Amino acid sequence: MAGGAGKYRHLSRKSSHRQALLRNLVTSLFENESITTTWAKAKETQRLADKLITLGKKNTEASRRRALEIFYKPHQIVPKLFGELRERYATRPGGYTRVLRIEPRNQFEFYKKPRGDKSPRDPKPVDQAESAILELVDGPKDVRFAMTARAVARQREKGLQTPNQLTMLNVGKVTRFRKDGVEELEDAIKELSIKKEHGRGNEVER
Amino acid sequence: MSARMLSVAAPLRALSSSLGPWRILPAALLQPISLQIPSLADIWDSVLRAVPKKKTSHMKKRHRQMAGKALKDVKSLNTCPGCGSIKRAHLLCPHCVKEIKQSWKQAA
Repeated sequence: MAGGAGKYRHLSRKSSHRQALLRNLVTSLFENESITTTWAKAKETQRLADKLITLGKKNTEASRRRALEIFYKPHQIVPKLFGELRERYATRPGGYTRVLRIEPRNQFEFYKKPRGDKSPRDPKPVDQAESAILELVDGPKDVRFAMTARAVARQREKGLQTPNQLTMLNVGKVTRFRKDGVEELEDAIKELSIKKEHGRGNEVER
Repeated sequence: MSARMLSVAAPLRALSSSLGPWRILPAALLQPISLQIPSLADIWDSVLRAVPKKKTSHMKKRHRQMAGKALKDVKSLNTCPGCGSIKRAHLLCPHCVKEIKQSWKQAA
C-alpha cells in the first residue's frame, strides 16, 4: 500500500486472488483442524478463521448465510462450524486458533503426477520461507497439546513429578477450556510412555 | 589664454618632428595580436586519462560486493522439552512435529 503501513498483508496478490487464497486456506483449516503454510498466510487466515467462529457462536440465520459465502465446501463445513465447533468454543472468550512457528521445509517436494505417468517428477520450488502451523485450539489436531504431552512425559521419565515453569504454563493453556482436558492430557501422556516402552522392547529384541 | 596655448603647442610640434619615422607604422602591426591558444575541448581527445589497467576479475568483484554479507551464526538455540534435541528458539522442534504428524496419520 502506497504511503504508510497497510492494515493487512497483501500477500503479493491482487484482491480477488488474495480473497480466493484465504477462502481456500480457511476451508482447509476447518476441514482438517490444522494446516501448515507460510507464517504470513497463517496469520492472515487466523484473522478470518476467528471471525468465522464468532459467526458460528452467534448462530443466527444471518450469520449462517455469511458463513456460507466464505467456504468452498459450504455444505460440508457450515454444519461443522455451527455444530461441533460452536459447542467446543462456547465457553472460550476468543482465541480459537493458534499459529506455531516451525522450521521451513528444506527437502525437495514434487508435483503430483497422474497414476501411470513414469516421467521424472518436477520438483516444487523451496524458498525457505518462514513456515507455521495454523490449528484450531482444543481440536483433535492440536500440536501444542501433543507437544505438551511429550514434554510432560519426558520430564516424568527423568523423575520430575512437577514439570518446569514453561511446561506448566502450556499445560494450563492446553487444559483450561478443553472438555475433560486434564484427563485427556493424562491419557496422551500414558499413550506416549506405552509407545516408548514398546519401541525399546523392539530394540532389545533386535 | 591664447598666449598660454601657444606655449603648450610649441613643444608638441617639436616632439612630433623628433619621432620622425615612427609616424608611418605598418597597418598590420597595429592590429590586435591573436595567439590562437587551443581550448580544453579541442585537445580533450588527445589527452590520456587515468584508467584501470585490467578488467576486475569475477572473484575480485564478488569478494568486494559480498564483503560484510556473510551468513550469521544462529545463536538463539535451546533444547526441545519433548525430545531433548537442540532446536531454534520460538520454533517447534522439527523432529517432534514430524512424529506428531505421523501419529495422527496412524490414528486416522
